[in-house]
Amino acid sequence: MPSSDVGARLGTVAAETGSGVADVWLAWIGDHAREVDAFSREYLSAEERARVPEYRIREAAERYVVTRALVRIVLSQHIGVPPREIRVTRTDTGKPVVTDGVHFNVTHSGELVLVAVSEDCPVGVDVERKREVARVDALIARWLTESERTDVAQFRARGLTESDAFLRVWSLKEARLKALGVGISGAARAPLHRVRARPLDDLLESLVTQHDTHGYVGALAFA
Amino acid sequence: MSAVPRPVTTTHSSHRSTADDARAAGCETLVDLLRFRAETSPDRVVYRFLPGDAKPEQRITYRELDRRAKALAARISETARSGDRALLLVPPGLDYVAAFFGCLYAGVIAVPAYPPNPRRPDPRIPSIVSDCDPGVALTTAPLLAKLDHWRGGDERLAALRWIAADEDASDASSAWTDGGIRGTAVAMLQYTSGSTAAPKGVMLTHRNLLHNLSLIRSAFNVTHGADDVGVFWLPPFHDMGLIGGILQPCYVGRGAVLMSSATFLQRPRSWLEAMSTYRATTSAAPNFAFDLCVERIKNEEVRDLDLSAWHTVFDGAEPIRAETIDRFTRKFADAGFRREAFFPCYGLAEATLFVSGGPWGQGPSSLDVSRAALEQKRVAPATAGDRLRLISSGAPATSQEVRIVDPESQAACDERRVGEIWVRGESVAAGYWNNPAESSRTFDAEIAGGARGYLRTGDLGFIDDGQLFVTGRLKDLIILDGRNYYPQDLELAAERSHPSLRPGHAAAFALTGESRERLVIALEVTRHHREPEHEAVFSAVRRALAEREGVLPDVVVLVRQNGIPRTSSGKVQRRATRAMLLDGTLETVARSDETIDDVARVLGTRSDTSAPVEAWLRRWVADELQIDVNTVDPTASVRDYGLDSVAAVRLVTEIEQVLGHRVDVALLWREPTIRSLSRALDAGGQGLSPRHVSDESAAARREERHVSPLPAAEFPEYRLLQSRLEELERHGLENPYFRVHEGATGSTARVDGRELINFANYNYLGLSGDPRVNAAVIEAVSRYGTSVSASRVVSGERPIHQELEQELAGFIGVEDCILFIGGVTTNVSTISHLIGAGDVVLCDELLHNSAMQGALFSGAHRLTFPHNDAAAVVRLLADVRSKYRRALIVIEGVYSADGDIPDLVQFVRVKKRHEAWLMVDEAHSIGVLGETGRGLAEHAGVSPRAVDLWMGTLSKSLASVGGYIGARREIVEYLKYTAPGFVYSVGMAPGNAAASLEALRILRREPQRVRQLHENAMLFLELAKARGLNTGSSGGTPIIPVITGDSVLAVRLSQQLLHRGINVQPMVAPAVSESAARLRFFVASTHTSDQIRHTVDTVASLCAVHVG
Repeated sequence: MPSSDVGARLGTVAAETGSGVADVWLAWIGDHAREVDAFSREYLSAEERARVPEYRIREAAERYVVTRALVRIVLSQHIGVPPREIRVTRTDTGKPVVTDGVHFNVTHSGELVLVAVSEDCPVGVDVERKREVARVDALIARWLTESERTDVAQFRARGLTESDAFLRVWSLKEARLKALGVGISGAARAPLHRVRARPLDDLLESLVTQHDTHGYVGALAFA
Repeated sequence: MSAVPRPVTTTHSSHRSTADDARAAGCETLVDLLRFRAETSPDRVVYRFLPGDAKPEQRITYRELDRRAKALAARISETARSGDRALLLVPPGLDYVAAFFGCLYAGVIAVPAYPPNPRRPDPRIPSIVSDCDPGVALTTAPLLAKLDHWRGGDERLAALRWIAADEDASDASSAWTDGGIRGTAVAMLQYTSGSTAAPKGVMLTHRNLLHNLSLIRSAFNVTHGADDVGVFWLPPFHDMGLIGGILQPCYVGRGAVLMSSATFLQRPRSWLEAMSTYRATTSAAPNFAFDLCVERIKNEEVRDLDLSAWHTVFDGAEPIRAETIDRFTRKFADAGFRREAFFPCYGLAEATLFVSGGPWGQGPSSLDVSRAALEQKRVAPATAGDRLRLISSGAPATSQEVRIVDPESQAACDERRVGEIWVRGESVAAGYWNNPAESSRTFDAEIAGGARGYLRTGDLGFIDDGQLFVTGRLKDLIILDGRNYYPQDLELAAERSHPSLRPGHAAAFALTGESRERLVIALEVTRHHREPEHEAVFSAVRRALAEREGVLPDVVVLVRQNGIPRTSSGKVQRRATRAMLLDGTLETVARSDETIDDVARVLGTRSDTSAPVEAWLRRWVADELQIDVNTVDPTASVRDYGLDSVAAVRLVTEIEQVLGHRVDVALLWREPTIRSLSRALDAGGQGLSPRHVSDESAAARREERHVSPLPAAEFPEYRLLQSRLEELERHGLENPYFRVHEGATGSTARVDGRELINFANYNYLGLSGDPRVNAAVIEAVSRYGTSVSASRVVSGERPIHQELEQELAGFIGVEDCILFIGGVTTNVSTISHLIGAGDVVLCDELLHNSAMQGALFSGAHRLTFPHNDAAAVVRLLADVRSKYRRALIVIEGVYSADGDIPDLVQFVRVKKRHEAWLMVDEAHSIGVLGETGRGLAEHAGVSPRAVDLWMGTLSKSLASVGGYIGARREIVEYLKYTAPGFVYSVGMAPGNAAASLEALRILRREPQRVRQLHENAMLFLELAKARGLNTGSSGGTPIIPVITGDSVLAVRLSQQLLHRGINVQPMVAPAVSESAARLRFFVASTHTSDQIRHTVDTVASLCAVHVG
């Protein structure tokens, strides 16, 4: 299986509670711009292939193909079914799932796509490109809970900018929500405190690549 | 027992009239007064109370009042001492009067207040309690129970001892002893002025009250006729209602008829009816009440009134308008009302009540002054083009001093100058309870270089030729460019200038601007006001103010309905409105001083309201990705542009700020394109509001609002529904819809555990609930299951369907029948399938909605003809028949609004002549008309084959649910194979089919049921007619309306009947026109004649009170 063709395996992360481990994979979209057609034929399901021409923007098509290909390849490793034949469905909150007893989650931001997979428990993963977030104070007020706002303050106290602090706290929150399979609109009612999340800084930094991993923050959560 | 009080030389300056026997007896206190009356005229009925709602009048004699007061006083005195305060929360009525005197007899200080609404308790009450620290509260037993939760939730209230004043403890009266209070003792506290935060209780002594009562007496009629009777509905918690309505009659020894203000407001005619019935001579009301009578009482009703005995109506408590007096006089002249009865007066709680009024018998006097001069605080005669008509508030009482004083300099004003009205005399209260600072400021003012001890009323006015004219409140005065404007005048000018505005709900005030005062007028808009109308309203208001008041407002503020604060007595609070505007808590809909942002212009005109949203989204994406906005494709999705989750929430946050309501993030992912997302977002609100686009700081400050993603709450249709339901609530009526019935329902029903006689369903023959029908259903379900689980075309056909269709066809006399699963769907499907564009359908104007909908969906040309007017159909068809392929005439067998029947013979003739089809909807005639219940054909003696389509429902006489069409075989076959409403629907459930089949069989075997139904219907109708009820055109059917002509009345009667164990539904606007509003009775064969008699009896007696 040409796993090294798409993406690199970032590493295995163990859940704090000892409830399981997750593998985290990563891919750089730009690296595979020329291989979109090939990946499409090789790894994507028939429905996914049919959707590719619907994308009116080139970059969107590339992101779609690379993401789906990565997911299938990674899942294939775990469940032993050829990538093309894996059946991916969605929950009613829109989370993609497979029925074969493997949990996975996908995220992308900028040029980066991450896939986390675990045989033990549901996982959520989120990555965000670091940047100056406009009107970040409005976002903090609107979307974060009281304790999350405290977290932001703590990060700031350590010298981070408000944008960076927000992105860190946000990616942890998103990872949790995605592990629970809940969208942001369900955040108020979700038992987020029960979901462990940890940042992915160490994994990102350990990657040997010409790409700028420092430009991203990420988090992984186990439900 | 106590003796009659001994004569005491009084220090009051007074009129000594030989008829003034109460004074002659030397009553020093109100206790003396009532005891004097109880001794000298014990059996005289002093008060009658009309509870409204056709309940009988309640009465009390002086003796009984004395006894009750003593009994209550004894109970109060168990824990309260002389001089303690007692809170009175008793609704208007005789209990209130007894409670009030009970306090006085106990020597405690009465503190009356509006009894709280259990659902919305008045925050003023705890504040009053804090201020005067009562130890005891009096209320009634029912209110005590309802207020339990409220009382328990506030420790100040919970700490009070609560006494139910309506509970009879008559043996306690002997326990009472005379506390020997003096005239100088405080009798009551009046909390009318002041705010919730800083309430002010005016202290009124017995002396104040008795003095003022004598002033009133002197002012309005020195010699009273022995037949003088007063009618009063003003709230007895405030001065005018308490002193004028309750104490004054006792003082002069005449009787009074009391009503609650709610009774008057719900039905203004009740006031004048009482005046007429009791041949009353005296009354009192504020200006708005006369206007209300003019608006709400019909001209026809005036002739039934006899107001010729009416010689005095105190007109005070709010500014008196010349137009109001003119209108009222004109309208009720035919009833014998005379203009001279108007007795404008002026007073305030701080001076007990009465300050000026009269002379009696001359009617209102007016003065035409120059408006321009008045703005300069001068009184000058009017000139052409500069005229303002003022109504005087009467002559100041001669035993008091009334001065006009400049409010700033406190110097006495010259004649013909407007200043603050100051009063000095025995009626002026000692001060505010427990508030020495405020008291000395208000009650002990000093005229510059002159005497002190004056009450500053806070009202502005002038005296001309011995008459006091009150122009407005000092605090509300608006001074612009040195000119005085009275807010009530500005409000009056502006509030009727546009239909979106609510008269009586406006507040004008000034804001201090940089260089000058700015005039602001805030007006409430109705719920139906829409954003595009803002500018029109602003213009209308500006124009009205310019034309009528000669002034332009700087800012016009439109406020949400009920957003302008009011006092407990309903007066607009201008200062509070101003404060709310300044701190941003006023629920503003629009302000005329908003600048339209440039961005709105950039975004272009709003022909498609979602276009600005789309443009905004594209611009946002362009900014986010640093690309050219023209390359952002609206047919692409936001997802395509690679939003990560932070960008997604950023987008949502900003969208929310722009649109002003919450948005569901999932919308971003659901909508396939930017364009469709724009439409979806726009549907949730009213499009972009330009001011939001650039106002980031305001957006960040915006409070989180709780709005669901589906914008149902914003739908105008939903708002309209809400306003109708609230209208019911405002009238104090329960919602009559969706009443839950327990168990099987027929001629009786069970609601909330009570058994009712039921006239609100169509179980005409009592077959629903019949054990044989039930058994047949159970048998069918056992055999076929509960559902056929498929369309009959494919695999849903069962023998029972055919059995029922055949049975029906045989019963009504047609070749074949087709069953639909619902009556509505039968009409909609059949009509819309058989005709279409190129055809014409003629509908009776009262045709059932389902048939009208079918006609609408068919696409055929629709014509409506006057009810039952076959000749009109002839004329219509003569005109248009040739233009159309097919013509269908649709009528009903029995019309369910009026219970009347069409002339089938005529309609058959018409249809033959013009080659039209005739369809008859027999929903209410199958099983009902005809000797054996075979419907309209049997009733009219016409062959069923003469009608092309017989439609009927299974839910009435036939004890099930569903519908049928009976027609020639080809039509039925055609429908069965092609009518979408049949083909694409599941087949009728076996249970439903079995129910009707059995019902039909029983009906064939027992035609006497139909006979019984006819007899019952006839009995009901005859009895109703005999009792004078308006049953419209009902004849020979079990549907009998009782037309009330008033929607609110219909709902109220329905409620009253429910309380008396009779269930009948009202039919109100907009389903019918207002004048056709009614109760609708559906008689069944299972009603007994006793039930029918009892019902008609009850309805008639209730109606007798309301309807003329």
